[in-house]
Amino acid sequence: MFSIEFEIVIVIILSAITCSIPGAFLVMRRNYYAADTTNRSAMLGIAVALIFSSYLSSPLVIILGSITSGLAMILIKKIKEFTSFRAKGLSIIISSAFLCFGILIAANLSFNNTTNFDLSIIYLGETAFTYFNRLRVFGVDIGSYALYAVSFVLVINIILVTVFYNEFKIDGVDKNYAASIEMKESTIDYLLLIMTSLSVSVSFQTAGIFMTSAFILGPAATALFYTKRLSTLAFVSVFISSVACLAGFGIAWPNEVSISGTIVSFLGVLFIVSVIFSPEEGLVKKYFDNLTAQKRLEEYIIMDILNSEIIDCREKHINEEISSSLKWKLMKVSYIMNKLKAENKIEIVQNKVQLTEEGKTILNKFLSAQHCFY
Amino acid sequence: MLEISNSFLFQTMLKSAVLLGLSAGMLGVFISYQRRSIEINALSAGSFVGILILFLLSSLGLYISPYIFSQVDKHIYSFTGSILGILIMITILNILYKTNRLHPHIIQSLMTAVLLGVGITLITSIKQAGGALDSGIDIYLFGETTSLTDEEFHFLRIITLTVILLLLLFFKRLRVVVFNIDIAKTTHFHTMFYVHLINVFVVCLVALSVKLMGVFLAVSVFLIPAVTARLWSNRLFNIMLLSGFFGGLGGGIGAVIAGNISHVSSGISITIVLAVMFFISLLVAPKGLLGVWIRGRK
Repeated sequence: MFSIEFEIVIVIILSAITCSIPGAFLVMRRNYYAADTTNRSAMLGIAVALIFSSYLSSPLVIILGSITSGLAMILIKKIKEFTSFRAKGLSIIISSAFLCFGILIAANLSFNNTTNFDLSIIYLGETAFTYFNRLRVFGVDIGSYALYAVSFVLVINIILVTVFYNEFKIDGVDKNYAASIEMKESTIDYLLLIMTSLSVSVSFQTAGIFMTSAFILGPAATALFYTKRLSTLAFVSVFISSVACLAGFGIAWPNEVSISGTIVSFLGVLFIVSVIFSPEEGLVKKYFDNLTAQKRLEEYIIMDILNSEIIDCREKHINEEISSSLKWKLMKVSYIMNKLKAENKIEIVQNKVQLTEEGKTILNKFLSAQHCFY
Repeated sequence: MLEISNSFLFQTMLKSAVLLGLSAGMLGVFISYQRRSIEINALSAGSFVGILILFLLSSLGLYISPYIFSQVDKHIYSFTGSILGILIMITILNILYKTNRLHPHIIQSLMTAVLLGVGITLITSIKQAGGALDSGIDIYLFGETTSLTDEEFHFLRIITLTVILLLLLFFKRLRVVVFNIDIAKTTHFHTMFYVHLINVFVVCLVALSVKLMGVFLAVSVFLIPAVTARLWSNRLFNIMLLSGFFGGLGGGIGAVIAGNISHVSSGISITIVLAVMFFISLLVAPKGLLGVWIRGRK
């Protein structure tokens, strides 16, 4: 129906969007261990399903994969109740146990030992192979199988988010308030669990079970630098993930390197770029803020000296006086004095330098904000 | 079915797995009390990238200070690469912690996946170049104990035995540093020396563990024995000894299984044995289900 590239790009973008929708809510709720746990423990279900079916995007794979990843999360909660361990450590143990059993089954039992199947497709992902599983209705080719599976899960995710949007918002922002209006936390937990595990077990062909956590966490963590509203967070993370997919595919396809690896490293590049250059809390902005704050402090110090009249305030020698008493350079002091005069904070009355009324009010405001005694 | 043969390969594999399990289990107690277990995941991904970058550099003809590596094997060269990668990863993580308001665990699991992605892109580009370069790289994904050479085994023996000895020697100081660093600063010893001692141990053992256990499972040999031992005792010295014992036992049994069954790599079998030990002690141990049930009846 479509060309090969177009269909593969659509599958990649849809699966990235599917992952980034629950990821926004996971990052909002600080439920950080869920992403790693679900996609590592989905391996067991995938391996068991591959005993019975021979291709990767069958419905059995999706169902069993999401069941085992949900089972791992529930097991962590149950063990946490009667021991003193934290969920983070338990999640590593249980997910690696599930992963190892899955690999054991996949290496020895799946595919009936007949076909020589490369298991690294499951670990590392290869989207180009989804093109070969076609879906046929009455003998007519209507597209690849993975396209319909991914879009089905995407529709489920969108429906769940739109129906339970208020609950998600209240629970993500303030848990105490959610408890006070008798909202059950466990229902939101299980809803998120269903969404995450379904989208993980659908999109493991795109990114592989080890890199899907970047698909879940990466766009949302990047979007947190640009917005603070939950609804815009979801939209921005969807936008970021689709941009990363397009760019990664564009780099990877002509050079014949791994598509999933390129996309995930592009997500990392986006994250680091937004750490440095983000408009509200980036490193560059913080650096220039520090510079301006220091300069303003110097201005206030000189204004305070002029106000208290400790030194001789004649116009002739004012710069030398201040620079000798503060041990600053003469250039710096004269620069600041010129700047203050240009801003009408100081004036010259009868050969004496004084603060204007405007300068006095500004200085008093600053001093009262400092909470210290002079 | 399971037998311990006398061949050189098998003996090397068994000894290295037991030694790694012992030292990593003992160190893992301190790491899990410092709550750094996800960080080790990130470090192992970093070491993977470091190995690949050094491979690429050597293929381009760029050797870093060749007179050090001219005598020894290429494998030691890869070990250096993994240590470099870990150090780079530590600096990246430390910069990101300071400049962010995100939770550190999100940054760690994100950077793990991102570094894996970079590594896999590098692997595919190396494989396209062809030649003999790509022969030994797949080992790092799930680990292979038989890939150790004689010199490398010598190296491993020195490192692991030193770690065990120093942990036993400095146990009292390390205990104070791990539990409460503020109390440790009031007493008269160099606190930061012991903090950095643990960090050096972590760097060395993660680099070894990536080689033996693989990138994805390198954390399991640190964490699982420590948590298992936590179920059996309350005193830190007992926990440390028990955890070393569990790690060594799991490593030994896992290596024997991996040597006898063809389709299983060593990292997977060691992790499975450790996980089975964890689940059994979760049922039986005094702080597990059975202990909770008995205490509830009283």
